[in-house]
Amino acid sequence: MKIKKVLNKHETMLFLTIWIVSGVIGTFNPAFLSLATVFEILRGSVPYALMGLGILPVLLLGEVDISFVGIAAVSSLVAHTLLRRWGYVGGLGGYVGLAMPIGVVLGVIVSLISGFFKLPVFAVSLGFWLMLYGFNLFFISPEMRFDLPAGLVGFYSNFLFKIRDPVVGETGLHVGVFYVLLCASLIWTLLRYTIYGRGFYITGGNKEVAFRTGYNIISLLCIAMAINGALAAFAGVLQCAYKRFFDPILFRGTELFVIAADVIGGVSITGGRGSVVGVLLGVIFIQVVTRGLIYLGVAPTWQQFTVGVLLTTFFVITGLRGQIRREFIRKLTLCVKRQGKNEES
Amino acid sequence: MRNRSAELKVAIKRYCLEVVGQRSFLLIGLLFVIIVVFGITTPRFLTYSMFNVIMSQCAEIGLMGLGMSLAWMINGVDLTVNDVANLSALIAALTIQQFTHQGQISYSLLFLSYCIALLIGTICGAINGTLIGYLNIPPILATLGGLTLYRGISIAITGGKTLAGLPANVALIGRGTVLQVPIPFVIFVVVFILIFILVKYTIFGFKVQMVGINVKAAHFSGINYRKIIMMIYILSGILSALAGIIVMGRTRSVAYEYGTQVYIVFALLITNLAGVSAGEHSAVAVFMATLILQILSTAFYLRFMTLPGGPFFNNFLWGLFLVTILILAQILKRLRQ
Repeated sequence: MKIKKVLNKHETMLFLTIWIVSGVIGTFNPAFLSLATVFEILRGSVPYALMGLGILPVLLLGEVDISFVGIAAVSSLVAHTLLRRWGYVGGLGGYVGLAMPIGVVLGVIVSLISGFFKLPVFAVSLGFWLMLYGFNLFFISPEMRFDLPAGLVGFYSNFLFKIRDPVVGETGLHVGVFYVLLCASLIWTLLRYTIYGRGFYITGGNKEVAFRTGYNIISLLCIAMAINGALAAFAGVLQCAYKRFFDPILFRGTELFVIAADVIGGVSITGGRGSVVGVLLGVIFIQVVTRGLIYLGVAPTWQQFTVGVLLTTFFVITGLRGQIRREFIRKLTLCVKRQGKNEES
Repeated sequence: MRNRSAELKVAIKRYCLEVVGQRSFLLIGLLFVIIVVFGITTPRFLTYSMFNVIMSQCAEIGLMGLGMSLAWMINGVDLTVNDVANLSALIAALTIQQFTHQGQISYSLLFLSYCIALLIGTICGAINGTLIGYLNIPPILATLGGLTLYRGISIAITGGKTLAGLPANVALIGRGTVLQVPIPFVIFVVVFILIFILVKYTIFGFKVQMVGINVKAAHFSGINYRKIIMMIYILSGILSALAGIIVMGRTRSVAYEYGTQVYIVFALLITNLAGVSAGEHSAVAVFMATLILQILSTAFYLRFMTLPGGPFFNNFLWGLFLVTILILAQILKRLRQ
């Protein structure tokens, strides 16, 4: 019974799907099946996993936010500009220490506006999306900034341990993966063992019930958006450190894919359902697919098309599965009812 | 006698509130304020050529905004508006290139290519509608998949290149005028009136409102809600295709990346500005919102053109504007209560 329950879970299905997809790619190009690829995929998914984890509480509340990419861009660029002006030469610590509070403040502003004026977060965050990128480009700098401090220069190859790969040379498990696991376990604990964490699920399931139970919906939204802003800022700093430049339009256009990754991981867009493990798997799934296309030798002009087909197919399959399951449950209950009636008579 | 006039007044008031929408009055006031403010501060603003520009450019975002607002009305969202526009314009452009002889194309063949563009819009809308209505995929995801798919098709067909050098006839629909009024604006007004009638005065429109307010209740009262959802997304696709045709006419070229990012946000901006919500749709408000957006956009451009990085500052103002309007509308609503 327990095995069946585990098998029926969305996360297990997704995990198996990732393995099957990797296997298929591996049969066409054996170079894909190597430890180097695994490390590369993990490293590439670090910023997206952080943003996906950040948006999780907001999605659980049944709200959709797209301003987090703007928050990431603004907080990382502002932190960079300020730190460079102050002559900072250290590593990630100063950046994260400055960017995260900025992210929290911005997130809380969005949540307070939408909470006090009873506006949907989506509409407010749309305004902030425009405003934040405009702010970055106009007030801070419209150019990419390549002037990294000494402490950040080698960050993209800051590995926890190294291996030698015949194709790519030296590679290893990036330290960012450790940060993701840390954040994931923190959020997991918050969602599972704290009263506020349970509140996210309750509010997403039924707002009225949560309100009557005594939850303050606005403060829940504040906490969710604060987490969202903090993790987005962290992701922004990490991404800039990887790419070796600070970008005023960082992550622009990827906001919907982060949300898609969450939903692929089993988070309900209407709220109340979702898990940390699912989010991580969803992000990895998208990374495997997009990187796999390069290994499969798909022409660059056809890559977007292929991603579109895959995304749509995935959504269709999950949609159909839900429908079949509902139908099955309906028939089952009908059967049980009929049996009960027969026994009565 | 006096009693009757009072009754009439109440009836008119109710009619205005129900059909035109409360938000429209706020928007009309706003429009007035904007025109006065920019008319005073910006010297070249209140001229005929300026209004010509505004009228010929507002059709594109207006049509996409209408499509988005229809989807918004049934608790959905159509993120594909821009890419459907580009894809259908692209297919039309390819057809036109096939038919072109020595840089000329007859009007009947041009009309045929426009029909093909509208057909592509219909097909894209039908795909969205099937995913959302019949397979129960959340709209934001289904249209995200659609967006990637349609953009992917556009990139794959053109190889990422811009199709330019279309025959001169094409420009008629984008730059031509009827009685001094730009054709895009005429098209926009006609479509807007049609949608207004469709939503407010037809059985279909009533069903759409029902589905928007409560899908389950609509289902139990015998409305085929899946079909309604399908029709709405098809309608949105056709409107987007029309926008694509107008863009093609205005620029005489087609690119897969035309307006990506910006147009989706603008369509959402119009929808939110017009106060469209589940089951509540006011085409008048959408029209007003489009005008406001376009006038502001042109005025901002005139005002901040000379500033270094002016366009970026516009983006900042857009966001500020949207948030302020949303808050203002909410405060007004509370005061009225």
